[in-house]
Order: sequence, then C-alpha cells, then structure tokens
Amino acid sequence: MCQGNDGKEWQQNTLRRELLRQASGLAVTARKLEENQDYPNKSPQSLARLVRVTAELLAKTLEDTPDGRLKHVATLLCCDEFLRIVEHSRVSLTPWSMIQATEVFLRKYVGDDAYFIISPEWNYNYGVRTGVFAAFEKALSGLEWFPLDEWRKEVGWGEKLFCISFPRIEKLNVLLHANLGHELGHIITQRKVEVSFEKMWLEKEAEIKERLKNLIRGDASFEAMGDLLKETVAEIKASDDTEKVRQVALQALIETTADKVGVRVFGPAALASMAEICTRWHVDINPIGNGNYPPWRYRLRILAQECSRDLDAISQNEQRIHADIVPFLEWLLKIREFTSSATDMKEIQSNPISAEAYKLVNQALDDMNELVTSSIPDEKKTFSLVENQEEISELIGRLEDQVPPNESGIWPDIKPASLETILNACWAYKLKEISQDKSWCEKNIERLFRLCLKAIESSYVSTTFGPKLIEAYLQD
Amino acid sequence: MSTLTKKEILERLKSEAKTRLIVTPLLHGKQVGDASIDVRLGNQFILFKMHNLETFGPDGKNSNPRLGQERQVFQYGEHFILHPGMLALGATLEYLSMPCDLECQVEGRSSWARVGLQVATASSVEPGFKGCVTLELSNVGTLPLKLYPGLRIAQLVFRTAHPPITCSLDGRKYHLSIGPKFSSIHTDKDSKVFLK
Repeated sequence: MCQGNDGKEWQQNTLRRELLRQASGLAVTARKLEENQDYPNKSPQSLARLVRVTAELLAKTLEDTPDGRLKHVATLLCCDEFLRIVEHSRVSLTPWSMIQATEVFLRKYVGDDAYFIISPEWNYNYGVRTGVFAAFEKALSGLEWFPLDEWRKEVGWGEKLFCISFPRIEKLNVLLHANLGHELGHIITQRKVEVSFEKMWLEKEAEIKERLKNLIRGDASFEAMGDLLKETVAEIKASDDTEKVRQVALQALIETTADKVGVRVFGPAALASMAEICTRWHVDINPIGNGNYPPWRYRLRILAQECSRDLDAISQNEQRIHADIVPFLEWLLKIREFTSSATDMKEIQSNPISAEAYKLVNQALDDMNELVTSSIPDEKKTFSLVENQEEISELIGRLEDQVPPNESGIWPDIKPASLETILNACWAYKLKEISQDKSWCEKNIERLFRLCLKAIESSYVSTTFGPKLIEAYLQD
Repeated sequence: MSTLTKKEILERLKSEAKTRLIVTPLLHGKQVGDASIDVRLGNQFILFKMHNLETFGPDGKNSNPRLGQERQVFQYGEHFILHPGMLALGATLEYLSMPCDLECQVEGRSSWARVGLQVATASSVEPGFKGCVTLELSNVGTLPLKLYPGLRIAQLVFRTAHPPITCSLDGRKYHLSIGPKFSSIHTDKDSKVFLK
C-alpha cells in the first residue's frame, strides 16, 4: 500500500482530526466547569474560561495551522491539567469560609488586581503556581496564525492569577494554613530574590569555582592522572559543582525569604505551623539530596529568630505575660531549643557544594531582610504575641466560651480581629488546652477549626461591610 | 416569661459574662429593634437535589438527608434565588451565644413575609444554645426571590426563662453550628419504636 511522503499525509490528517475532537472536548469540559456555581470565589471560573477560550480558538484556527505546527497545538491542549485546579477548588473541597477573607488579606500585599485560587493537592504540602496567564500568552504568541487579540479580549483578565494549594486532608485545619504566608512570600519576593542573587553571583562565582577546583585538585583519586588531564577534569567538575552551588544557594534564599514574609505577617503562628508540618520529615537532610530545599531545622531557626521579641520576653521573664499565652510561648521556646542543635549545619558542611552555597546564603541574609521589609512596608516588624496579648487573651476567652474569636471588646465598643490575630489566638488556645490535657486534640480540635473559620468569615464581613452600613444608615 | 425590650436587650449585650447575650457580628446598632434583634442571612445554604431520593423518612436507607441535599456557598455580594415552592436551609450570619436564662424565637420579618418568604418553622432557640441558627427558607409566594447573603432576613425575639435552666450542652443536635445543618432526624432514638 503506497501512502506517499512516508505516510506523513496520513499522520497529519489523523492528527488534525484528533486535535479538533480533543480541543472541542476540552472546550466543552472547561465550559461545564466555568458554568458551575460551586466555587467560593470567582477565580476558578476565570481559569476555566482561560482554558475554554484557548481550546475554542485553537479548534477554530486548526484549518489554518500548518502541518508542521500541529504538534505545538497538541502540546498546548495539554493545558487541560489546569482544569484539575478548577475542579479541586469547589466549595466541598476547600475551607470556603476563609477564601474571600484570605483573598482580601493577600491582595493587601499583592495588589487589588490579583486573583487567587486556593485548592487542595494530594501531596502533604503547600505550593503556589504563578504566571499562569503569562505562560499561556507566551505559548500562544508563538503561533503566528492564532488570533491573540481576540483571545485576550475574551479571556479578559488574569495577569495576576495565583494558584495556591494546601494538603488535601488538612482542608479544615485552618491553623496550619498559616503556611499560606510562606506562599505569599513566594509571590511577592521570588523574582526580586532571583534578580538580587544573580547580581551577587556574578561577583562571587569565580572565587567559588576556584575554591572548588582546588578541592578537586587535592582529591587523592586524581593522583594517577597526568597534569593536563587532571586540569581538564578539574575544570569540568568545578564548573558542574559551581552550578550546583548556585542552584542550592538560590533555592535556599528563595525559601528562607518566603519564610520570612510568612512569619512577618503571621508571626508565631507561622513558626508553629511550619514546626508542626515538618516534624514528620528528616529535619537535617542535606539540600543536595532534597531538591535543594534548605533543611527544616535551618528554616525553623530563621523563623525563631524573627520571633525573638516574643521568645525573649518569656525566656528572660522581662515583662508581665498573660497566663493564657504562656503555654504557646513555652512551646515555641522548645522549637527554638530544637534549632539550637547544629546538626543541620554539620550536614551542610559535610559536602563542599552545600558548604559553599550556605556561606553565600549567610552573606546574603541581610540583603534579603531588606528585601522582605521593602516588599511588605506595613509589616516592618514580625507580628508579636506579647504586644497583642490583651486582645489575644480576650479572643482565647471567647474560644473557651465556644464563641468564634472574631472580635474583641463588648458591644457596641467592638473591634474586628485581624486574620493574623485570629490565627495566633487559636494557636495559643490550642497549646493552652494541650498543656492541661494531652489528649485534648482528639476530641476538640475540629470544634476549634470551626470556630476559627467562622471567626475569619465574620471578621471579613465586619471589616468589609460594617463601614458601608454605617455610611448607608448615615445617609438615611 | 416576658419579652425583652430594646433596653433590656442592650443591657444583655453588655452585661457580665454569665448573663451576657452574644450575637456576633452585630454589624449595626439599628439591628436592635424595640423588642427584637434583626439577624442577617449567612452565605451558606443546603439545597435539595430530589432526583436521587424517592422519599425521606427516619427509617432505613432514605434516612440520611445528605443523599437528597447538598451544601452550597454564595459569595457575599452574590445572590441566591429561591423559587416559588422551594425550600432551602440557610443560616444566620450571626453566631449566637445564649445565656441560660434566655430563650428566643426566630421570626420572619414582615417586609419579607409580604412577598412570600417564610424563614423559620422550627423557630425556638433554647437557653444555652451556641451557634448559627438554621433558617428553613421557603417561598410561598408566586415570584422567585433574590436573596443576598448579608440581608436582614429574620428577627430574634428574646424571653426570659425563669428559673434559669442548667445549661448542659451534651447531646444537643445542632449545637456549635457555623452554618445550616442537615436534619438529624435519623438519630432520634425514639422514632424506632414506631417503625415497622
């Protein structure tokens, strides 16, 4: 059977037909998700619209697509993976009552034009995807027949869409969601860290490479080689190792800077939630064996340093501390003690690559502190338990009465509590109860989660609509 | 048992912890009327999906209301449409903490009743109750009703319970709810006596 062109024509025709079917199917699926009303905010529908419009226009322009570019269209149609995020952001899978409040909170730092999808993932981890819209736009702009302006017009918005994920099984564990502060850190500092680091790297790269080369030259396994070969191998290996140093150091700075943002905005709640989440893993693992991520103990140490005002206040017994928050502070002090062991640093020093990387990281930490401060100018200091202890103690009192901790004061002289105050009060209450009854969590933790979620929602409604109501009644 | 007047309600909202009435968030003082507090609609609803349930009863396989109902959330700023003949469960935005010497009745607001909205049929809230009050919303009028979370939807009329009861909260079905709760009729132990 003769097919001419080595069967290419047959292959292209089949592919074109299949792509049309796939794109149409994708558009229908995306439309169904877009029409679904079951989301806690509008952002998931917007992401579904992004996928739907992309699929529809790819289908519409398929006839104009050159044979040789069909594979690019096939790759673009893999954007169906984004529908998983949409599907997972349904009300039943998310801590819906905190979504609108969290969105408002995050916009304070990212900008009013930012949109967020908060959805679960099956990994026991928090994460963030940025630049979704830009990635689509960049990929589509490479297709010269694609009507990019029409696409932009129909999609409508999206430059600032962030998809934040949390561990699926921790949906209701709102206390743990203080880890969202770290993801906020990625959103507002990652690019700046990368730029700042590249500048520093240009200055340091040569000397790091030279030190690594000297180490390689001194390696006993090189003895048998001739000088020329030895030098060539040392050069190649030193280049590889230097690149690894760059990657390890950059990742460390990205993560620790994001951690600093998280702790700056959420205070001790951020330290507590990271401590709780990391106890299940090896806390001293070398970054090289762990995707370049800094050891957990290293990260906890930095967070504990950021909380030093609170921790010093209890350890030095300098000021009167309310009994309600003492168990939480004592628990946080144990975290600081835990980080006083240098086992993570020994692990880092045991490998010349990680040792070089962390030498660089330590040099850059001051710059990163400045970068954090400039990124969140309103939070120059870390949220402090001790400074807010009166309000937090009052909120703990409400929790003890099984009332959501959404406001302090006695009506009508009430003040809505901020998200960070609510989270810290709930953490302090939890540790207070655990200090009295080790098995408290087993019976009561879900009740605390519910009260915390209701508090976040109520506080959001009070701060968003309360002033508008006063204005409306005044106009009457 | 007497109905609390505005002055008494205001005193209760500020009184010492044991006798304090908490209604939170109480967004504006004008919600306190001459003998009641207006409460607002929350943004969470339980809606019926009748297609997979023949009947509902306290017996056997059809006793779990979750088979025939689903939870939905509407953002503040969005609306929910209650069609004529439709029943939906909503809840008050406000979380109540009742002292042990007060009970309250949940009543509709006449402005809504005039367009066909009924908000509560099981309307008594017992002393010591803590939680958001579930509202059985039904449209007995002829026009679909647009309901926005945050609207003043019902009113609470308070009465003193004399002498105060002992506020034991154990075993209360709908205690500490933060939104509408599914029916727990299947947990009524005594109903089994009457089932064949």
